[in-house]
Amino acid sequence: MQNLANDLEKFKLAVDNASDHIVITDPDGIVLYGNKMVEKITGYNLNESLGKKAGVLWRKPMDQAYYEKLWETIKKNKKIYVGEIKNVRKNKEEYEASISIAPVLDNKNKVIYFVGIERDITREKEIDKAKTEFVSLASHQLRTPLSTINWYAEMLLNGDAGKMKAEQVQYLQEIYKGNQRMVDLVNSLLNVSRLELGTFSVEPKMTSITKIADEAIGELKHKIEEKNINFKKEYKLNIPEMMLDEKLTMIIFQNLLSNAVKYTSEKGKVNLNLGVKGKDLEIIVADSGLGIPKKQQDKIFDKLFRADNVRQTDTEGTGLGLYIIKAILDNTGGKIRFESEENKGSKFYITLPLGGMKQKEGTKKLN
Amino acid sequence: MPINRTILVLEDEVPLQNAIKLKLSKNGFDVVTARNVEQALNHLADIEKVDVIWADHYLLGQETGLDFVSKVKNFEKWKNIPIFIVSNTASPDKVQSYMALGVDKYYTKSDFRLDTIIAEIDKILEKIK
Repeated sequence: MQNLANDLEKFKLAVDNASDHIVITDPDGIVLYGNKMVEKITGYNLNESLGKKAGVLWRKPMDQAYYEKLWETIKKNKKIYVGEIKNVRKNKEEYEASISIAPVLDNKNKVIYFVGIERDITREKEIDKAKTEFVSLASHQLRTPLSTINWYAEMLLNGDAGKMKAEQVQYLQEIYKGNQRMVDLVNSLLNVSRLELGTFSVEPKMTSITKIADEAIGELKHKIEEKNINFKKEYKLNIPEMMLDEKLTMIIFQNLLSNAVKYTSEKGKVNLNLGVKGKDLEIIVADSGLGIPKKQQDKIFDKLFRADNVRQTDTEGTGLGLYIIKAILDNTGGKIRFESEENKGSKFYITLPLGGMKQKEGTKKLN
Repeated sequence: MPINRTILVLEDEVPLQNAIKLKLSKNGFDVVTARNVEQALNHLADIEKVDVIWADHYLLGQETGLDFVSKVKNFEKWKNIPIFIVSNTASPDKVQSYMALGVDKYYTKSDFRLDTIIAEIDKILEKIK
């Protein structure tokens, strides 16, 4: 008995003094216990929070859908909820917290308590933001020298400064191509930082998606011909005009198609299909290329991730394309999935609601 | 090739300004250049007819391309001159501000070839002739 009491005391002391904010509630979320960090982080003492719904004092109001998802996870599905949330201390200071709530079940699988753990991650968020802003700033600065190289190389290649020898033209073309790659990389980095900072805007206009697709194909025409790729497009006749942000839609096509062309060997196949499926517009890009290894398929949308097989055969990719597509779709109501087999090819399915993308104002923090 | 078209180029980076000037001259433009807003406005006042303006956003001095465009658009004599913005910054709020002021086109510098932009300028000049 003494041992048990010792154990209980040990656990209580551990929880009381843990470095994260820990709250225990009843099945309705009413606070039964809070440790010392609750007061330290939120500014509310235990007497103020006991008997109230957890978080009601310090939570910044979130939309209904957030709470519905939270309660569905912990109460109905009896699973652990993990997320990030915005809170306000008693002194009105805002902070961001990572939050995890675990249901505690009795032997009949009934929820008897919830244990909520929160950690103040404001500082981490600030550092992450500073990093993203740095990338954005550096990328902007790079554009001036890139333009200088671009435009002078263009003029030399055009013969504006006199005719060059074939060998000179060839070397200059390499400089020009290398510079184009750098421009593409800078553009991708800027897109990533805009997506991460939330400074990008979504400006939907009534647009023909087939026109955007054709434009993206046009940009790749040279590469398709160079690799002798058997490229086919098929647009169904019933595709309506949609409210789309042209730039974002273009980025989706550019990345999907350039991946397909890049990772398909000479004389391989690339197909683009557009059609209506239920309430969505469906884009399918299929190739007979390298494919994605089974064991790495779950990482394919991670930032900077490149699968082993493409890293070994191609040096051009950045690991940003699919990450950017996914981030755009997450922000505009679209979805992406794929089927892929190594050395057979990949098939990407993208859906965009026919209702179109929703308008989103960009913030004005960055240039 | 049409002749005697005058273009005002407002760009602070000298190497870029030179490239733009060379290419435009080859395409039959008389080119006047400026590196800040004041110079550009002086040119507009001095030269009898400027047919088209090419401007960057960030310039020497405090004022930006936005200040320049809003001044130009406020002058009866100048407000119909077509304006092409060719800039490194393509943030949506900037593009929107320029479009709202009535510029004709907005280009991200590093994404476009000189001959592409010049062909667009030709097209617009052709239209208003």
